Amino acid sequence: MIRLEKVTKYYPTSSGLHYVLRNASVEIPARAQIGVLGRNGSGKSTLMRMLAGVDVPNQGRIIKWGSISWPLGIASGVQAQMTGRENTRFACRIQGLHSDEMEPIVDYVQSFADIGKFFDMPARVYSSGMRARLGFGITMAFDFDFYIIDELSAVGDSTFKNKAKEIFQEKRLKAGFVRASHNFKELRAECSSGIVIHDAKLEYWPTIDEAIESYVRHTGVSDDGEVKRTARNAKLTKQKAALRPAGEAAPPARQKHRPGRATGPVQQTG
Amino acid sequence: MRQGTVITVQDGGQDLIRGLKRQVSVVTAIIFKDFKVRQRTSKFGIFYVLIEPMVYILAISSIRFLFRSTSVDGIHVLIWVPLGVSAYLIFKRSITKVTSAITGNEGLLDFPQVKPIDPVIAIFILEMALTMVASCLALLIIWWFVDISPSFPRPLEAMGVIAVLLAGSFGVALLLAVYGTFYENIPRTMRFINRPMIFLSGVVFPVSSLPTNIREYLAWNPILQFIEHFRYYAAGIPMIPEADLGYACFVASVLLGLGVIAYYANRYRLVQSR
Repeated sequence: MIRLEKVTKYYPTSSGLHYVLRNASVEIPARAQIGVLGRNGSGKSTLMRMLAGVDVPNQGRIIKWGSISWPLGIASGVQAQMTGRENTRFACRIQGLHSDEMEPIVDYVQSFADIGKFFDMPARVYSSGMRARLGFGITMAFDFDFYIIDELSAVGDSTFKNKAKEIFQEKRLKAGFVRASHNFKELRAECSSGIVIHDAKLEYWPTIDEAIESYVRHTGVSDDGEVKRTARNAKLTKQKAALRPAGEAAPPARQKHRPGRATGPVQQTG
Repeated sequence: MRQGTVITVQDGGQDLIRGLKRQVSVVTAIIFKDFKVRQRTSKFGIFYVLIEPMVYILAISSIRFLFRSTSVDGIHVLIWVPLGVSAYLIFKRSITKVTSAITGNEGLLDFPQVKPIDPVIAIFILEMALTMVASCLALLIIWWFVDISPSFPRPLEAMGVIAVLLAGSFGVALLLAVYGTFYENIPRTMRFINRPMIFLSGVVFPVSSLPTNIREYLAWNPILQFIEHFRYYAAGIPMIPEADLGYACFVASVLLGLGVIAYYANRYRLVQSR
């Protein structure tokens, strides 16, 4: 179980304190499968880092029962100077494993990451997909009570995604997940409840559908993950046209996402 | 405003032994990692650690030979110089190598098991082990080559002096590592300030040959005190009248205390500053 008690987190900026969470209180039950939603920069990664214990709130308390993984993201947990093998052994050592217990884990990670000869090369030469495979393999090689996963679905090919899906199914039977993602389909398939971070406020929703609905309401993103064309967008287009020198033709229309439509919706990224 | 906290409860409570075990595992892991990385990135890096004491000893001995003296206070220069250099290098390398331990290992703080003090401890242990092994090798090679050896009248006291020097050096390294994370000019400035220390600590020239009024000022330098006592206990080389081990131990304790306080006071800020 993880309990947040009146947690406030801010970052000092040149224009004053930037709050990512204000007085947030929530209790995440053991084995919960939670999706975390929020715009880019809303504080999802900060929340994940605090839940994992690699960052601390400015005020309030986070109380954790049981073991919690390090935040698993695109590149976190993989040290660039070390090879894949050394990264795996490092993780084994900090988990307090003895030398004879490391080899099965190294073999598992090598087989899961499936990056061939790169496993014995420094991680600085890896692509982001290879790093994600390695980082994911290392994390999943250990049993935690909670896994913290931060927008990992953005990388990796279909083989990796299928492997990740399989291992998620296996792990979720005995562990909880807190997972930040912008992919509604993925969150609906894998999470039972949700957290929405908006304007430094944290909302906990008992079902993931309610969480997505709240996120859609706050951000204007459509239910399928696309940003709605708003009045503000239209205003910006008008302003751009007004700034264009007289007589200059408008730039050619961009490739549309949906053929046959003059103005397609903007794909939500990140 | 009260600082927020993260509390981990496992098997009914927090356990000091578990915390200690965690720290030993993490420090061991960082030592292994750092040694491997150094080995791979630059073979010369490890080699340099080994030859540095030798280069120092040969350079300083050459200066002595230039002044046409082969003995200091009646002791062969190749005993007097290497003993001083060995003790001095402990302080020098903790100032230059350990102070970047936190900033240089920031990525490791992505693991909740790793606390900012762990890389400082690990790199201090690795650096000091390498420095001491290298110094011992250098001393043995040089003494074997010129067929001389010190008498080692009080080896335990000599080791005790080195142990207190290590404690004080760790305190300085921890202080600089903590504040160097917030103010990047601090380690650079300290390296600059450290440069004249070799001349002010009686490594190159014997302080005993200086006038009393200058010696009284120099005696405030704790490194000089440690070097004087180390030479005395290791080879029976007479100390300056101002030598005071109590003062040196007091300074080392204060430095260690300040280092620990600085870390404790900033332990959350170090994590938040990333």
